[in-house]
Amino acid sequence: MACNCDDACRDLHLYLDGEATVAVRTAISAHLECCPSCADAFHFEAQVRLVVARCCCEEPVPESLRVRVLQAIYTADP
Amino acid sequence: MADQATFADDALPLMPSLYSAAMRLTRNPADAEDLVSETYLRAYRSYGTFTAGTNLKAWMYRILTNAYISEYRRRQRRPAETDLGDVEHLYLYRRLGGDTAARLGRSVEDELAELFTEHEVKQAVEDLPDYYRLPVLLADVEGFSYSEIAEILDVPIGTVMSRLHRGRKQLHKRLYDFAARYRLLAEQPEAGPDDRS
Repeated sequence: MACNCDDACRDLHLYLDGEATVAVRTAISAHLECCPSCADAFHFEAQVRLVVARCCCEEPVPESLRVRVLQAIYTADP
Repeated sequence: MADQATFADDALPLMPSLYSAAMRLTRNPADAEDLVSETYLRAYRSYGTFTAGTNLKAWMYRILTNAYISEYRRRQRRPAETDLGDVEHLYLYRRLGGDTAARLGRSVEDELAELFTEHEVKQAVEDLPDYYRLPVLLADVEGFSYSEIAEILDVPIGTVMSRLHRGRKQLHKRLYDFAARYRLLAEQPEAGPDDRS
């Protein structure tokens, strides 16, 4: 079952989140194969997410925090 | 039931991602360290209630989120975050993307890297109100599923989906503001570092 541009865009986040049903997923994948403008939009959204994830996930942990947590655990009452 | 003796080995590898999330939530290193430390202590004390073999990362995030909401949010000395209201679908793409030919072979990734700095991306996330920031961080940075986020935040899946949807739109709006400023500066010859005429 194919879908149109409106259907695809409506379910863009479900699709990119990996939360779309198999039927929706298959329909969108088929649509993206033959619709360069939707494929472009999906690719753009996916890239924005990658940029956000990359910028927000690489905070170096201070060594003092590691030590503090270990000390807290070892001296805590169970 | 999980064994407290293995807690450090099990839970310490999660510290980098918990600390990064704590930085985005509290917005400063001192509070982020306190929050992570508090999270580990709470987790250690109740590790007996954790079912070994289930999702430890989601369990730790639930504790982090609860600790943040119950204690750290109150400490924030920032004006209340603003809800930007409804933002149209594909807001950022319609303004920055959609012009593949004009990119002259440059990838979307290169384009985005030029338009906003890492600091601005973090800023855009930190500017989101809590009820959007938490689901966006959990989904887009940590990769949790809708049902895991629903469990971590203790809200229905439908609520997760709508907050995520609106939160991402607001995030894109903030990112666009940064990109627009960059483009404006780039257009002013006297301010442009690349102007060699």
